Amino acid sequence: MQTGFIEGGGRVVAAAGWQGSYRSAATTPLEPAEIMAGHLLFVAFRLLTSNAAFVVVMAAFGVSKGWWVIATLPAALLTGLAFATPIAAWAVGLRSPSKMNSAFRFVLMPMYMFSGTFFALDQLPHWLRVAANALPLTQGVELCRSLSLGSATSLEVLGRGAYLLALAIGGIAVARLTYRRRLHP
Amino acid sequence: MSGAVLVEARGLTKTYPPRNGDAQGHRAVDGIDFELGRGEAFGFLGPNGAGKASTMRRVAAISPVSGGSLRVLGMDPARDGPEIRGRIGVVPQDDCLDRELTVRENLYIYGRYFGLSKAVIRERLADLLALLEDKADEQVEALSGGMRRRLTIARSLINEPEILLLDEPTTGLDPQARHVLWDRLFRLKQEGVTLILTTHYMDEAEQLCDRLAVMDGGKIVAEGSPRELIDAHVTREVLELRFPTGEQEDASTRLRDGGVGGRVELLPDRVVVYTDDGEAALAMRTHCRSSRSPHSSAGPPSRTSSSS
Ligand SMILES: Nc1ncnc2c1ncn2[C@@H]1O[C@H](COP(=O)(O)OP(=O)(O)OP(=O)(O)O)[C@@H](O)[C@H]1O
Ligand SMILES: [Mg+2]
Repeated sequence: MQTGFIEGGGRVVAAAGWQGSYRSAATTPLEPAEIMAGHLLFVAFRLLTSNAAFVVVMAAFGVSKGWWVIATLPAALLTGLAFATPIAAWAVGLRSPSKMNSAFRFVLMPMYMFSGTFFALDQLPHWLRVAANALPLTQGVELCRSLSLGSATSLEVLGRGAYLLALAIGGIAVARLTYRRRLHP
Repeated sequence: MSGAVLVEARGLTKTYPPRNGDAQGHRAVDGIDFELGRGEAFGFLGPNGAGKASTMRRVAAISPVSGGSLRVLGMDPARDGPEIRGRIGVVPQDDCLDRELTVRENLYIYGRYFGLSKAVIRERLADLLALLEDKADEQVEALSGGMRRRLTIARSLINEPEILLLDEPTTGLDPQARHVLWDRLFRLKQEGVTLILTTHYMDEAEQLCDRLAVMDGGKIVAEGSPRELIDAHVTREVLELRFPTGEQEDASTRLRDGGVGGRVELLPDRVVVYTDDGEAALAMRTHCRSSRSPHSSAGPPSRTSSSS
């Protein structure tokens, strides 16, 4: 999630704004949707490489069991993209990074706390647990965790995967519009 | 194909969506017409915010029109954007370079955006890098503003464009670099490249452009060859008069009433008289004052006159 946020958030604000990378690419035959796709490919690359590093460390310390750990690569990629695409869709319209910083502080950090990343959700009161379960990060964390431990059921994988995929695709659909609006004003 | 119309705009209008504050949206280009042939050089002049860049962005097919019609290279920018952009070069007002990369890498990546092969880019680089002296492998961050400007111009030529759009190309360049660039643009023009540029420098417009359009408030307020515009709107001399505080208004009224024989403009710090005979106007101004306010303690007004 963090990688998805950094590469799909702050970097998009910079590229669309003061850095001008998008503006110069927009004067070439590239269409805004292609520029967006290029950026998302880069985000995917960053996600895959940093996740691969995690997997290597986990395997080296014997945290995970068996070859199932490889399956966390696409799962973590999907989780990252489920954040990166909606965030990029929003970020491309921003004129300054200050809103992006607030989003990190007031949306992303709390989500981090209540997504079962650091402590088990069973400790929460019932209503909060239901809400926390609906968070995309919870879904991503559970998906990766169960896969790496080899305890995943196929129904669970499908359900969580579909949820994250819907977010990623929805983000792309909105980003196609917002990229065009910003790059072809 | 000389004489072919490459750009044709009729009643071109651009309204930006409303931003915080104004409810209606901002009409940056307000119904302008122009036409451009191959190998022609066309210049837009006008004050800040006149809508020059907004007009250029329409032609560059990077911004949809709000009204009127526009054809570029015989195509419709709304439908054939990528194709039009592939045959156009753009020098934006702010450079938009990748500062972390070197000069060479900037040119290379931009070339790749056009789908050019490595071999083709390498071949064109040799020629383009001549514009940048020995800075080919320098990081853009470390370049001076003028060098960056030259790189932006070199970059815009990587796809060998048929139309080149230049937004204030020589702002920030030293006089020598300016001439290098003018020379280059002149050669391009002779090779049949159509130039559209904006500038704030009258001498540049006169040097480079066959035709000029003066824009203000999103409209074209005057159009013609540089010579025609100068003959029609520029007087031979401009007289600037400074008066002590408080006397300025009176003095300008008196100059006007006295039939100074040119346009009189009252500015916050001085009165400007556009006339063909500055000496006569100056004499008259002195006469006006000495005859009407003999006890004035004012010193002689400072005077600058320029001829064109
Ligand atoms: N993307 C945009 N959204 C909203 N308004 C815009 C946008 N781009 C330009 N404008 C407005 O349109 C008007 C014309 O701007 P434009 O950049 O075309 O001026 P210009 O003639 O190039 O001026 P300058 O000499 O300062 O470069 C300005 O009032 C500007 O604020
Ligand atoms: Mg401008």
